[in-house]
Amino acid sequence: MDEQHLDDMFDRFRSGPPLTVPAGAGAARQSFRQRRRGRLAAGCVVAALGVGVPSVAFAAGAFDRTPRPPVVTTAPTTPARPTPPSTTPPPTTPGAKPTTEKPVEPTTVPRAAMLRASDLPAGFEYRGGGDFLGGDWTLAFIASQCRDRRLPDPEPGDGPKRNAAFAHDSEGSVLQRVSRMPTPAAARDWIDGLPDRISGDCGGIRFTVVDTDFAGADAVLIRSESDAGGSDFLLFVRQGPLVTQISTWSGADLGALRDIAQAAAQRLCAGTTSC
Amino acid sequence: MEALRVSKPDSGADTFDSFYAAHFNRLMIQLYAYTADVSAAQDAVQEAFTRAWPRWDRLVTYDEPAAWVRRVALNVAANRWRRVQAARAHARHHREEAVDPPSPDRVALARALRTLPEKQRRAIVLFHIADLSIAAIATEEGVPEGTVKAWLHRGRAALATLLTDEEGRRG
Repeated sequence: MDEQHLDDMFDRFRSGPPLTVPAGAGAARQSFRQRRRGRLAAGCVVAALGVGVPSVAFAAGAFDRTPRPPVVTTAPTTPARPTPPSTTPPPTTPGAKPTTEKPVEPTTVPRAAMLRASDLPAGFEYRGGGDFLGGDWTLAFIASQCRDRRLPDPEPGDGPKRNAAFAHDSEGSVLQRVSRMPTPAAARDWIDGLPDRISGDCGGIRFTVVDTDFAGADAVLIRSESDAGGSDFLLFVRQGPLVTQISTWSGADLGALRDIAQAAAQRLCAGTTSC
Repeated sequence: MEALRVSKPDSGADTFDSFYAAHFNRLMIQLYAYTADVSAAQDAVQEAFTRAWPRWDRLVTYDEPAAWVRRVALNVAANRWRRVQAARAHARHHREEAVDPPSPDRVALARALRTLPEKQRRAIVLFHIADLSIAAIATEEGVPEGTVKAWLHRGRAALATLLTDEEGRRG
């Protein structure tokens, strides 16, 4: 088949009749509303089961929301703004941004990209961010305890990293690692494949995906349960090439976890030009 | 997370409806080229619009919100776990109205595309079906333009061979 024939096939493919009858924008809105109700209900169930019984301090409104990251301007918590292609213009472009010189993507993980104590419920204090964190809380460490199979790529690359630890007198700790992957696409592929890679029982440890897409460009909330007892939540959030994983106190409820994920997503924007 | 907790009024529904109507069929064709499966394409596109709605007030300010929806749809289609979730969520919204099945030409091209490595297939769909420039694809995929050109070159060569064989079988 020659080049012209192939191009003709692409033309016919593009210009052919519709492939299906659209479900409609109303169906998309309805699906979103049902999903929101389902998530809220799931949050209640998790709390009622005692998986996470939030203390009074973590009830609604207990979060100290001052000060917020100064770095967020348009505050997107969605995938990096796509490059405008040469197709038709959007229906409305009231805020279309003029093309300016492209900012330079950092090569490290700046401290500004990390959570701060003010992002967490009252009572948490920053305890440092060095190697003392070890990493015995990360997905890679938890996955290393699997008896039956090795989970592929449990760590988001071997590029620059930065850690942070926060502690609360009674609730425990919040531990964070931010990793820089080579490109936004590499980071997206890594987190996209995470549910498939970790799902199920790997021998002594069961991983469950509790929620996805609730913060940043991508987000995944994973619960790990060990045969030896105990369960942990691990949050993953991506912005551009940055991926953070966060281990939280065992009593955290879903609302608190999502709030932390949102805060982490906004902080990550200080370390990438992708927001 | 606010969007999940606070009741969102249907502000912006008009522009969202217009946007959906303007882009659904085009995105369906792109996702069909990527998946070779009309139902899977429909689920992925509908899922992407479902995710777009709570972000609509922000997306509408983008230069090209359809690019965001396409990217989400491709990610959904590329991930087995997300595909299953989307199928569960949207199967009940599939419409029964009769639509002609894809033409033999479309089926042949979609099936041939399906056999390509994922990167080549994605590049071909973005360039030849979604009409993106090589520079835009390179930015979206986070690779140099030369890499995109190589994907396109190899993908087209493989497609030409596959479709020639297919034509031979069809006589």
